[in-house]
Amino acid sequence: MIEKLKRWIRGAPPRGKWTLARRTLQILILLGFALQLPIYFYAIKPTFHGNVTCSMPLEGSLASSRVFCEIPMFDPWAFVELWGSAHHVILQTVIGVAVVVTLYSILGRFFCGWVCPMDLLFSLFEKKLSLPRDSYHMRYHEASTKEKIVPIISMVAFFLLSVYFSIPFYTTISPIAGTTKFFDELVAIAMGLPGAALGTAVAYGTFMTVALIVNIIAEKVFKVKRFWCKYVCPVGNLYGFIMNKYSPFRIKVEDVTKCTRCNLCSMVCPMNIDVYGQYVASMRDVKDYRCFHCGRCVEVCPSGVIKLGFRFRK
Amino acid sequence: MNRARRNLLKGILLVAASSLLPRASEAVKALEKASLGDCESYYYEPWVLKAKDKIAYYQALGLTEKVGNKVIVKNPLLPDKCMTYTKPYKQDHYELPPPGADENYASKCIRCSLCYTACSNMGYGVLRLKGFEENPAEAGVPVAFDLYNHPCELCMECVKVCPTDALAKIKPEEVKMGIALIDPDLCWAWNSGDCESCASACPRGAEVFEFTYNEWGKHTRVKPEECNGCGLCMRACPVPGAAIHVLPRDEYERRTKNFKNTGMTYEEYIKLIFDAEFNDPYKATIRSSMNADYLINVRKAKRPTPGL
Ligand code: SF4
Ligand code: SF4
Ligand code: SF4
Ligand code: SF4
Repeated sequence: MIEKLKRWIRGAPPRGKWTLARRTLQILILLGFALQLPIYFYAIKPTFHGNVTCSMPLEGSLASSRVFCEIPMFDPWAFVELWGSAHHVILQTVIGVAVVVTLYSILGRFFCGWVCPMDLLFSLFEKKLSLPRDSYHMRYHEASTKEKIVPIISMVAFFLLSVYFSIPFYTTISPIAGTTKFFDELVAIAMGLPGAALGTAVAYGTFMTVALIVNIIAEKVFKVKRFWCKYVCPVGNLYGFIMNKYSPFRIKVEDVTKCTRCNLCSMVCPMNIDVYGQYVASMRDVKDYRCFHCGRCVEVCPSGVIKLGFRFRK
Repeated sequence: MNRARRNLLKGILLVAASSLLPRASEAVKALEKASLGDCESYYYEPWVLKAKDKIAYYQALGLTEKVGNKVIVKNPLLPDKCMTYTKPYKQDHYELPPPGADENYASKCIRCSLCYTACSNMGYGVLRLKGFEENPAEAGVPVAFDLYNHPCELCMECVKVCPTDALAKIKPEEVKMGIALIDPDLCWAWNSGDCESCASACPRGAEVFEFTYNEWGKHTRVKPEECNGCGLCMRACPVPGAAIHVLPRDEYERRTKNFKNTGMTYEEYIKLIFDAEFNDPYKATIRSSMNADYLINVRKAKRPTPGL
C-alpha cells in the first residue's frame, strides 16, 4: 500500500540527483515566499513597529520579487502584459526584466521545472510514464505545427485580454504567483497579521486550484498531458519559444554509440518530447520549446548517453 | 467519460452561482429602509432621546420632534431639520488607494504583493490585498483597508519597492489617499473645547489645519487640497469613532456638496455656525452645549486636554 502510494507520487524509478535538486529548489522557493512576512516579529510583539526595510531573502511573488533584498526580478510575461494594459514602463521594471531575461538566457526554460510551484503540484497527480500505445496527447511525439500554434494563440489572447480589460490579465489569474501568494497569505492569517484577509487567500487559492483542476481534468478525461503548461501558460512558453533556442544550459547528447534504443528517455518526459526519436537518434541536443530541463531523461538513461549541463557550441 | 463531463459542467455552474451570492446580499442591504426617514441615512445617525428628563429638557428648549414613536433632537440652527451626527468610523469606512496610486493603478499593478510585504516589514500593516469582494479583476491589488486602526505613516516603503508605476514614486507631501473631513457637530473644537489632537497628530500639522478661535472653541478645519489622507488624525481624536473621517475623494465631494442632507455645502454649514456665534450667542451656546451633551453622554467621548 505504502509502496504503491510512493510509486504514485514519485513515478517510475530511478529518481536521481536532478529530481532531488529541483524539488529542493522548488520547495525552498515556495517556502521562501510563504515565510516572507516578518512573522517572527509579530509573533513576539503584536504591535510590532520594526522599521525594517527588508527582512527575508525572498520577497514579493513570482510576478516580481526582491532576492536578498537587492536583486530585483520581474516576470517578462508580466512586463509584456503591463505594456499592453498600461502602455507605461519605468526604469525599475526594465531592470527587473533584464535580470530575469539574462538569467533565463543562460538557463532556458529552467523556470518551469525548477522554480514554478505548479510543476510540483501537477506532477503529484499525473501519469509518470507514457507508453507507445497511449493516445496521441499522452504519448511522446514531435510537436506538430498545429500544436505549436496553440500556445502562441493563447499568448496573443492573454495579451489582447490585457489590453481590453486594461489589467495584466494572466498575471492576475496566474496560478504561479497565485500559489506563492496563497501560502504567504495562509501564513499571514495564521499569524494574525493586520492585512491578512481570508478573502485574499480564497482568491489566490482559487487561481491555484482552477489551474490544477483544469490540468487534471485535461489529463484524466480528455487525455491531454500537461495541458496547462503546454497550451495555456504564457510564462513558460515565452521562455520555451525564445530562450530555449539559444540558452547554453540544455540536455546534451554525449555519446550516441552507447545508446541501446530503449526509448526510456522519451517515455519519462513529462512534456511528451520524443527525446530518442527526435534528438538522440539524430545526435542533436534537446532544444525543444517544451523542455524545461527537469533531467528525468538523464536520470533514467541506463547507458549515460544524455547529460544535463552547459554547452555553448551548436 | 460522459459522467465526468457532466460533473465538470455542474461544478462550473455551481461556482458561477456562488460568485453571484455576495451581489445578492448587497441588494438586500440596499433594500433595507431607513426607519427614521430623512434623519437617518447611510452615514449619519440622529440622536434618539431615551431618558425622560432629557426629553423634558430638550422639549422645554423646543428642540424635540417625534418621528414614529421615537423622540429625536432638532438642529438648533436649522429648525426644520433633525440633528445628525456622523456614524462611528466602523460604520462609515472606506477602502482607500495606497500612497502614490492614481485612479487606474489597478491596470499598472502586477499583483506582486511587494508593497504589502514592505508595509508589514515596517510594522504598519496598512495594506491589504483585494480578493474577489467587489471586482474580481482586481484580485491582488493593494488597498489601505482600515486607516483608523492602521494609519499610514507615509514611510513610502511601498512606493519604493513597487516595481511598476502603480505606486508612483512621489514625495510624502504629494500623497493623496483621501481627504479628512471634520464633523463640526461631533468635534470638541467646534463645541466649546480646545482640542487639536488631530492637528498635532497630523504629520504636516499647521500646513494642513487652520484654526479660528472664539468662545465656542478652536474650530479646527482641514484644507482639503493639503490633506494626504493618511488617517493619523483619526486615531488621535478623543471622540470614539472619530469626529474626523478620511474619505475617498469622490465621497468627499459628494458629502461636502450636501452636508448632512441639509442641502447646504460644508462651507455654508460652517458659515451658519460662525454666523450664529457672532450674531446669536444664545443659539450658539445651546448648540454647543447640546453637542457636548451628546459627545459625553452618548458617544462617551473623553474631554480634550486644553492646550495639547
Ligand atoms: S508552463 Fe507555466 S505552469 Fe507549467 S511549469 Fe512552466 S511556468 Fe509553471
Ligand atoms: S508593489 Fe506595485 S505592482 Fe506589486 S502589488 Fe504592490 S502596487 Fe501592485
Ligand atoms: S488631516 Fe489627517 S489624514 Fe490629512 S494629512 Fe493630516 S493626519 Fe493625515
Ligand atoms: S481630534 Fe477630534 S475632537 Fe479633536 S479637534 Fe480633531 S476632530 Fe475635533
